[in-house]
Amino acid sequence: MKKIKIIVAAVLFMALQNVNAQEKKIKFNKGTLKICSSKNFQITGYDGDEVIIKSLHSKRGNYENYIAATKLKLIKGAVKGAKSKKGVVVSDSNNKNNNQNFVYFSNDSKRKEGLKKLGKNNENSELGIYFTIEEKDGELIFRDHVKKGTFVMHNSDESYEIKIPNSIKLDWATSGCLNPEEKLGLILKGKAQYQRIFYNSNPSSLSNFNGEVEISTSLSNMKLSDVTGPVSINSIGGNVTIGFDKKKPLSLYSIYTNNGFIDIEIPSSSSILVDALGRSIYSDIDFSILKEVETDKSQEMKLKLNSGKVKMKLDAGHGNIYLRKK
Amino acid sequence: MNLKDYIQEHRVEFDEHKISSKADVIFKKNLEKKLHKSSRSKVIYLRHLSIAASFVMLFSTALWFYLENKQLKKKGELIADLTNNSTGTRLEAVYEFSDAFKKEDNQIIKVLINTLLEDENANVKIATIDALLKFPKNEEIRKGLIKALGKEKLPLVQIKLINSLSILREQRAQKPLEDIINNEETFPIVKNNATLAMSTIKQ
Repeated sequence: MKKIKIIVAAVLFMALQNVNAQEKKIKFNKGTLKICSSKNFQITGYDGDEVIIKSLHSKRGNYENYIAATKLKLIKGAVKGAKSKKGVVVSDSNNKNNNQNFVYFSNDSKRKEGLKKLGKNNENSELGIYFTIEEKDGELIFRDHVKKGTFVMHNSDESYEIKIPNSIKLDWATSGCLNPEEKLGLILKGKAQYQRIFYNSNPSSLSNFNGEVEISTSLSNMKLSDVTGPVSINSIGGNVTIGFDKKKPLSLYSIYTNNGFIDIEIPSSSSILVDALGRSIYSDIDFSILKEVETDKSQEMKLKLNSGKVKMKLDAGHGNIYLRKK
Repeated sequence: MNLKDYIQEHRVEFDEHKISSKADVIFKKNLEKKLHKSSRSKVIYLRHLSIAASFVMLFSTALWFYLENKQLKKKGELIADLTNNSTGTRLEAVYEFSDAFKKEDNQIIKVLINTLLEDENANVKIATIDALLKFPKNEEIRKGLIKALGKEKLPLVQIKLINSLSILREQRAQKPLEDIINNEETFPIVKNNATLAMSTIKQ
């Protein structure tokens, strides 16, 4: 029996060691964490001074690297002569046979043993981290290994748990980030490379965070819990769910979606002033109603709870708004 | 003895009797009371009123200056906040302009249009469009929205601009709308909104 216990303990210890090995810690307690990635992240705030990344998925095996590619009409030249990450030529849009799809399974795993793939994209792959990490000008940037102008449907089991200090700002864009020229609209017509459609079926989440948050998503759903604000979220086609358990909203909440729903759980002790616009607005909270406008397509309400100190600006476009009692 | 005899008897005394200076004052007082009562008190009343009025005026002018100054100071602070690094601060400023400043103010409109053209955050831009739409007849605002539509790259903001210009039935939006529809890199959902807006405007 004692032996079994020891064995179990040893196995547990090894398992834990294995988990620890999958963690990456970066000292970063001031500035902005910028996430330009469509991958699934479960982010939690804590009072510390390191950003800690842990991969929740299994490490990519040596046999998994198959590549399938089709010619994408959506973006001209996106896969033109492209080489896959694993070095396999896929398709060439200039080639007359470009309607063929190439599927390639590699089986040279033994040759790779003990070696590491070189290059910036693979710096952290032994930790199961498949995005680039870069730090510059007070910003820590996580970026997908995606070439510009690529069409991506992302639906893998890849998922990360990230702990971030409460003292930093979070700027999270699930459809990638625009570079400065693109932001200013200086790229000439037809040359802009901001056409990426990202999708991730699992909602990403942010919880227990006291810092400032900016989130921009397309199609991806977002869940926030115990995030005190200020928060700004905008989404095309994504749903936004906000919950509070131990905390309450203390600073501005601004949420714009064009057809996803906005679902917010509001603690009865919070002091908020809600401006809500959506297809329909549902609630079980005893708000004082300051203004209401209803048309056949939309509903607009100005609602106050307690003294109405914190502004909550919600626009769900064609989606509904749900305001629940906590 | 009758009265006549009495007067005759005391004639000398009567002739020599002088009214005391005290009585003089009392008489004067009584006279004033009888003859000048109304006008005098009116003057006093008016004087009091004018003093009170000038106090009220002074006070209200001071209050007006104070409030105007406060509003001006707040306006200055909010304008400064519009270029703050924190998105939360910029958003608060835009919402404050939207909620608390009811009068059409050219300076505010100018900085808000600038925010719409230069800011990097979609929420800030959308909030700014809402703030500007409070004055739909303003020509500068209409021009600003058309210009923004021509250069905007964020899909959600594009949709907001398209819908706003469609509600305003702004004919000059046709050119940027056409560009959006013809640009193969436009998001499909933005293209749909642009096509719909185009048909609304052309009606």
